[in-house]
Amino acid sequence: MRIMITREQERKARQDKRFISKETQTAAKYLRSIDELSGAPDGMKPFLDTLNRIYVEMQGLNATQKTIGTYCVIAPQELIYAAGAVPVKLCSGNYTAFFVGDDIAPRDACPLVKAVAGFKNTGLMPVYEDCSLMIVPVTCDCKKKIAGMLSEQCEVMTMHIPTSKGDDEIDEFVSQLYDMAARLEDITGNQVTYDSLAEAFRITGRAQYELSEFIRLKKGNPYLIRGTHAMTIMNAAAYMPAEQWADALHSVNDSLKNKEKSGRLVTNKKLPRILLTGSPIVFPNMKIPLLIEEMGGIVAGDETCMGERGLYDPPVITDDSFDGMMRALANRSLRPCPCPTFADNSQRIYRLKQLIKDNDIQGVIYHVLRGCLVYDFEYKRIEEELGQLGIPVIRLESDYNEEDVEQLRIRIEAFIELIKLKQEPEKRKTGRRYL
Amino acid sequence: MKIKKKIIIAALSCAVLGTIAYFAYVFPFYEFEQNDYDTSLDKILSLDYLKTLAPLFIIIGLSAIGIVTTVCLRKQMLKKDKTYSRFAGREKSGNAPKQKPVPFMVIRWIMMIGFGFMMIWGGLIFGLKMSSVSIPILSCPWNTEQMTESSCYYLSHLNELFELPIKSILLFFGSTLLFIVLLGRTICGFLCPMGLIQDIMDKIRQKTKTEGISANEKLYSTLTPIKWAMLLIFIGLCFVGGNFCNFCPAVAVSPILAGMSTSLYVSGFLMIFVLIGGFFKRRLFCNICPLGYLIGLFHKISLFRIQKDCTACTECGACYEACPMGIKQIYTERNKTNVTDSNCIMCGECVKCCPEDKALSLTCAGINLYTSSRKDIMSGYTPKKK
Amino acid sequence: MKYYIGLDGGSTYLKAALIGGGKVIDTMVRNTGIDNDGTARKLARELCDNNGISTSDIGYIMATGYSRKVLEVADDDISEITAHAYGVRLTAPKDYRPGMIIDIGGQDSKIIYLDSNYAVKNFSMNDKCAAGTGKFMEVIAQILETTIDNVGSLSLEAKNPCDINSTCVVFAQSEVISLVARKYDRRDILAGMHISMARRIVKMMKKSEKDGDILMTGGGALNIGLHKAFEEELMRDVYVASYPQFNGAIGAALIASERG
Repeated sequence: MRIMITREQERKARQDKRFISKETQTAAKYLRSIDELSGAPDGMKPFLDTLNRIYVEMQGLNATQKTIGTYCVIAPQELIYAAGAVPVKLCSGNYTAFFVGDDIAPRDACPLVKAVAGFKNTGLMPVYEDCSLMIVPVTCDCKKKIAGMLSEQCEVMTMHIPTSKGDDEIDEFVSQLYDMAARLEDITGNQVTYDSLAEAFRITGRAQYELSEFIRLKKGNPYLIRGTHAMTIMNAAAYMPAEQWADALHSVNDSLKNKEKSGRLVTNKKLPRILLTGSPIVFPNMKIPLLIEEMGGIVAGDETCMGERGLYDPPVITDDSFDGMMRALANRSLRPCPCPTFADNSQRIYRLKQLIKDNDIQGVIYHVLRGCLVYDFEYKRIEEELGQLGIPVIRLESDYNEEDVEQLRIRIEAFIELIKLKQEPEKRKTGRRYL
Repeated sequence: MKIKKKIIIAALSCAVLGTIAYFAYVFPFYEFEQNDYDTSLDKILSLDYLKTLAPLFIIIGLSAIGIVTTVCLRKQMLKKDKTYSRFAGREKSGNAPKQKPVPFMVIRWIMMIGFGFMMIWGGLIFGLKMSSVSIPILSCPWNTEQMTESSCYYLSHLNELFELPIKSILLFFGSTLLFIVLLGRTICGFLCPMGLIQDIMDKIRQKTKTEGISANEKLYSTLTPIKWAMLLIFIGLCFVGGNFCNFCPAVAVSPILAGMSTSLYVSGFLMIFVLIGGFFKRRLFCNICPLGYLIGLFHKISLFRIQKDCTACTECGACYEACPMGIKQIYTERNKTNVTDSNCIMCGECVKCCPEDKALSLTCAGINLYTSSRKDIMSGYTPKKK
Repeated sequence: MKYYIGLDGGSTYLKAALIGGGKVIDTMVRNTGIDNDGTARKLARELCDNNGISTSDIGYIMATGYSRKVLEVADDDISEITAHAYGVRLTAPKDYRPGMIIDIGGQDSKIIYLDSNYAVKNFSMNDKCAAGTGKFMEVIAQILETTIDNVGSLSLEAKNPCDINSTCVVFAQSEVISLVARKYDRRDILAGMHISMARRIVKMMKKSEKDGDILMTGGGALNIGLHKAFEEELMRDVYVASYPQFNGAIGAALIASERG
């Protein structure tokens, strides 16, 4: 009997080792690709190091406070900071975990949820295992059921997201936030007071300030930084405490300001400027941005929730009381959010139009993960509306494996050619050139 | 659930106010034997002034009691809700992140205070030079020491107006309409002393970090019929032998501060309502003010506009939450550039709270006076200087 | 006058087209073999020799297709979608209103949507599965002991087209074998195959009338049976390009003429 047990343990240990080796190899490969991509600003190191620490060295956040996992940007991080804990976004992009999770979750479920199930099942990823509480806003059916699955192994709190944004729904969400704050207090043992909440607003506000600067610099010149690098910076925000991330982003902003002044852009060519929108692009699933830039385009805009959208909107406090701050959070989380979890998401089209205008976008790539129905539903309308502006849109469906890289490549290449042929060959406007 | 609580709280507050009103009735300023309009600078600077101010002190005192009672009652009611009761009653020593002061807002406060000062004591200090000009604001003309005339008297006593000589009628309508067309409801936001009082109450609430009543369509749809009722009473009361000035809350402030004694009738009670309501809901009276409504009818020809850049707007709703008049179309409009509404008092709160660059701007005859800027919103979060 | 060569490197056949003065002068095709580049060079030289042109008259050579990046003889390469869209400018019939292009190649099939100026608006591809490609027809032709050049005319002689249910080429193979065993006429089976293939491709199209006329190109366009099947499935006229299997090469040559 004892021999059987140790043999079982040995087998599990070998399986775990294989999992870890495969996972770290894939993560390291993508990190290398991102690092080797030309045009990185100075100051990318802290972000790459964080991703390296989490996915290659398989360490956790190494925080002294408790860790609270969230599965959507609708759950406000300010409350978690106010309770003296550290938030971590656990939406997963991992191919190896997806492979494991493919057997657990149904075939038609989205790969993000399959990867989460895979991680939880193997129990090997510190960021998942260290969480004292997982907050799952129920934005789609897959999230709903994964919340149920996770609750078998971990403390889980679901949040009900309303399907429309009327005044009553906002009031209801405010009471959800109060419940979230109460639950956080119970888990962490700290109190969410007026002062701690105000301090939390300052912490995330600082990060949002740096992000506003970053976006403003990008708006000034779309060739200042590659979209892949920008998306890596945003992805790293999921695993770094806000203050640390803000400091690192501050040095990147300084580097970009210098680049702008000296005219040192990512490239001298006028690469087609592409907006990437749709299902989230989570590290290490950076296939599509890397392919776009390999095929000669530049990702000049990003409307995905693991990208800029997560930290774009600041909470606006109109009432200085405690309830007023909670209302500011509820308003910020719901009203400007163009997530397709809402039944009528027309405001996403306006958001896309704003991004197209700000970043001078020439084409939109609509990314849909296989099984992500909510985003897929909106494709038709967006294609029509943007088509009226003369902006081409193609739908790219992908999954969490590398078998479709060639197919994605040929589609992206044809799309980039489409844009190149549309634009008139430009004469160089400025003589200044950094050689 | 929370709305039901609010209704109960509102009903209880009314009961509290009713009791207060009874005591107000009993006090000897309800109706004087003899009104005393005699005042001078010397009277103000003497101890007699404090005696004339007594009714105002009583009104303020009763309002304060009412506010404290409502807050305590609310706390009691919310004790039953497990989640809210946790967070109530905790100390609030720190400060929420604040934007740095903006020139537009500073100018607005200076103008409100300055104009309020002039409307109350202006005549005493500078003499009655402009008393034939009529401005449509709610600053009580029973205070004969006002700098200018307030249109509210003759608009609520139309039968008396048409007994005046033609020249006076024309002067009255002329100056009133001129102000309405030139300034529109910026009068409400920049000049009206009632507005100043309500903004002061709101500032007190913000400083004490008390929870107010937030933006809600149901609330505003309840206030609209009350507004029409007020308008009807305002215009029509004189034709049935009543006197609007017995109800108008402005009576309880301006003449008393100038050192006169006037009979207050019900206006003292209404003033208490305005003070308590203004504490919990910003500019509550402006939502039902009949004079404001009349000015607002002309908003299409006024020079002041709120312009919106619909592409830059992210529909965050901060403008709607901040608006004291509950104008939702600033937030929901997606096509037109001009989002001025008849209710808009040009206070600029929407522009102040807008986090997108150049999405909202307040313009006068096409010139941008105040534009929204993300840098301003983020000024509370700038990194510490190292 | 300058001449331009377009090369379309497929996995089985390498096609070349020579254009000059905006017109197609000559086309040539050869089996690709192992040495892509060598075959391409041979084709280019033969095209020149057969038409009495010296190599210095060639202004630009453009490559497209599966192996475009390894054809070193070319000056540049371009994707097949752009090349096919350009090709129809020369190969479409006079009254064709752009439009949609159905390109049926050996290994993949593409639908390309053009605007009224022949610029590519959008596209969708089937390169994951052999159903709807030339491979499908090749496999079936082999079982029925005929060649891919004959399947079209044979299918037109069918009296009672069969219903083929399988979605996959491999399973369709077994289904056809069982139909043959049950003594079905091979012309009826072929007609059923054509209908099945047309249906597969039609599924990935947007078929609105206002999007213009439909044009077939690629090797599959030579198949008159397939043409008829498309017209019946879509219930409207379907045009066929001239030189259909050279459309990609002609398009590449046309793009070359804009570069050189």
